[in-house]
Amino acid sequence: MASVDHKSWITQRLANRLPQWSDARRQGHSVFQQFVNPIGKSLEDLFKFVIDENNNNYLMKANLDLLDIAYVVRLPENYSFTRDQNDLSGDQYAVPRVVGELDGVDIEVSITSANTIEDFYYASLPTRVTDTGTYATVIPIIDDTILDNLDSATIISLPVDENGDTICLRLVITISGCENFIDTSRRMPSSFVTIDGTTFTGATDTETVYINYNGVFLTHKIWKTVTSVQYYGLQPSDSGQIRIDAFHFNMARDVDKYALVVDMDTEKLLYHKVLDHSFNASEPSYSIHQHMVVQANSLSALYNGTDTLVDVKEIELGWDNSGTFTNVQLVDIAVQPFTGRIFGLDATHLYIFDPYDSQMDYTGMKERTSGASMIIDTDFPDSLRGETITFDSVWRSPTKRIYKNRWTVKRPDGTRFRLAVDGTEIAYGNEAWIYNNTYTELVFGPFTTLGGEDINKQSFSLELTQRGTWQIMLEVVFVDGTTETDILPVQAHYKTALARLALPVGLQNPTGLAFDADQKLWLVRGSGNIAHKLSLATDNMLINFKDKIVYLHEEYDIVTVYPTDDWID
Amino acid sequence: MSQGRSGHAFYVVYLGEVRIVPTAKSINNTFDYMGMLVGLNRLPGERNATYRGRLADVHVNQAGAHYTGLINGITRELGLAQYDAITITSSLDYPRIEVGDTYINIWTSTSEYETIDIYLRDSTVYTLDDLVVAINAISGYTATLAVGGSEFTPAAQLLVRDSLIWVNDELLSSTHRNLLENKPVTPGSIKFSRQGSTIFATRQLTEAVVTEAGDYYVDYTEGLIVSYTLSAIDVTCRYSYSEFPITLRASPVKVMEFNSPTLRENIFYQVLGPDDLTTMDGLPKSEAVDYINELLAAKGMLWGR
Repeated sequence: MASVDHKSWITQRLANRLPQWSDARRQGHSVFQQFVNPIGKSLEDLFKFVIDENNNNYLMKANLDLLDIAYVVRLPENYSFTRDQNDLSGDQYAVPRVVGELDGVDIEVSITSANTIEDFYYASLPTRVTDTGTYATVIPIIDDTILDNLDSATIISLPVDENGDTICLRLVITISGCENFIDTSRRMPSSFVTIDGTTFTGATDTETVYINYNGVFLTHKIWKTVTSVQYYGLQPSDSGQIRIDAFHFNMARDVDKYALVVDMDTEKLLYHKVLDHSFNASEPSYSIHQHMVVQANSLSALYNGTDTLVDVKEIELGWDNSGTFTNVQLVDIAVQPFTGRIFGLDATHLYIFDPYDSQMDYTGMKERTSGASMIIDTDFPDSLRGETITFDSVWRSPTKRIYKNRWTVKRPDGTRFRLAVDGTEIAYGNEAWIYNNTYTELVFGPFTTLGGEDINKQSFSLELTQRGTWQIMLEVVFVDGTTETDILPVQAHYKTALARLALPVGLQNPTGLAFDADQKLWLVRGSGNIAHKLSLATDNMLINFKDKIVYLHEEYDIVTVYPTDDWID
Repeated sequence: MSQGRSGHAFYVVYLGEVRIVPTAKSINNTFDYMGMLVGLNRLPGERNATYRGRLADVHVNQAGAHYTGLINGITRELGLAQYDAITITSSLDYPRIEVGDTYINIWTSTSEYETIDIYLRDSTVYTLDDLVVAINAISGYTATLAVGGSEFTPAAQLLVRDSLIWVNDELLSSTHRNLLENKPVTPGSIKFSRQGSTIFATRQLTEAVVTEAGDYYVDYTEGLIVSYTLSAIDVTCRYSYSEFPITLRASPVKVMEFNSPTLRENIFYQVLGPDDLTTMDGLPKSEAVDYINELLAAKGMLWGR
């Protein structure tokens, strides 16, 4: 179910099979990586499929959102769909208007784009958020506690709903301020937390949760009562802290267990986090969804990570307001189990984002000269609107004597400008060639400043004023008359919400969002930390035109199927 | 079935809209396959989360061909749940409570008990609320509704249970003072294994008079055994104790033996037998009529044949 436009993490993994020095491996925009990306995306789907299907073999890990019930409307024999008169195969049907009535309110039901089960139940997005009426006061089960004081810490019961029934949940363990999680002599995680209590079945049970970095961990078991919590191996015990929560509201990070980020050297687990990012003084502060990544030496569970956070990738968030990208400021996010979709909240709406990077625009990249003698290098291929990136020339073949070169920048909106050697912008209409020393100076290269001083490379800085793909082009003319072109795409990442759903009026101004053990969405709001259970409804249908059966995703009191009008081409 | 374009014969164009109540159709997924492995089918219209809860319950409240097993199995299969109904505490030294099929016996001393009838709709104790009042009226016992219990639930939903539990062989350690794992121990219930016959030969009434070989003393309320001779490591003892405070469980499913005299006394009017001394079943009361009608509705048969 990977979206069409994203760069797969598998692509870099495939490229990592190439030699360290190769451009194909080192450059995310290399022809090889562009070519391999479609295969990478398919492999990514398979990778996720294997994990999901494996989980589906185990009762407590299986996906509760699997198709279990469809609501069926069998149309009478004399109902007929209008068919496309021009289609000789005769199986192009007009889609009827279908309205479901629920508690006296009419709800339009739409057909999914492909009219397949995949689209109907799995790829489709929710269209409605309603309040189930279930609520609970949420307080930490064990509030922030120094490890040494854990024995004497008060254990608060799990939250109870309005009927007094305990809400059974996967517990959220937060560890902070600890060091040395891995026993280097055995190369094994040596730190863990054990929880004793009763699970949702009523059975007395114990669970061990391995801790290998400072962060947030979920229990696998679904707990009803907690009688004791112990820790082993975590240190330093006089300053390290533990906290246990019932819900994953406003946690530092959300872990997406499926998607991995792969870079040139290592593979990393993908994290999501929401933080404020100030663009500039004239614009308000918007929230940004971050991939926080943890360094890992391999995919092996035996040695999978320390708490060093590297390579923070920020993505600007917004929604499509009738064709205009409008920023959102989220208060919290939650990663939906199995789909990996990121659900976010602001004061009035629920937003759904896909978990992928935004795709770079590679248009025009075919102009690049492969194996060019002079290329563009930057440390900022993944950036953000409002940030200033630096890039410079890398002269890789000192034997090729450079006559002149010039720099052109294409903004995401397609407008272009050129750069002078001192970095000033020059209108695109100008030629803007930079003439160099025609002799070969092995230390400095052929470059000079405007004042005629020798420099070893041409360096520029550029503020990314727009979101999207910036393309920086370097054209070089050599003394022997040959020309080369290198193009470096730089992405100011952004993401448009797949869906934006209005929150029920009574549940506006929330402060947190989380999924529970039944994969149902909860939000928390108000000073009393009241968590409310939400219901996500998907008002769509699947139609079997031949047998005249309409399958509905949601349950309605009564469904009206209108006759289809004449075919409109 | 050719309509429209082919043009032969005739076809009906339905002009009005169709209003239909949708029906839920279950579609098998991985949970149903797991259900097959444990022999538990999805109920009509049941969603994954609820079904997963019942599947997990298979390994906790195991089904079987015995009283608990039948209750566990039938309750789960019907999508119902067992729950904690009443919690009872006692200030007595040796409390005991016994839940039968139609009655509850509450011991006021080690030899006497009061019986509360919990079966008939027209009796004073029918709901759990009535039962709490009735138990609280007995001195030394305090009852409260537990989390899962509803005050209007029939008290007959309580599962058969006896607070008196037998421990068959608890190993004693080789000390002079052995503290048993459970208390209070029912007075007179302790029996020692053959290896302890010389060590625990003469029971004394106070610890002070345990003065010679073979003397021992039992503090029943504390579950403490004091012996003059050092106990050997292979001596075991058998005793009973009362589990208090006790939380009585209940289930909407109740399994009752139809030949139980207490049940028959409750559902049939008792008439004097031919010997003019003993009673026997007479005409059925309304409760029995309910059962008979229920059985007749399920299977056509002639009652009594």
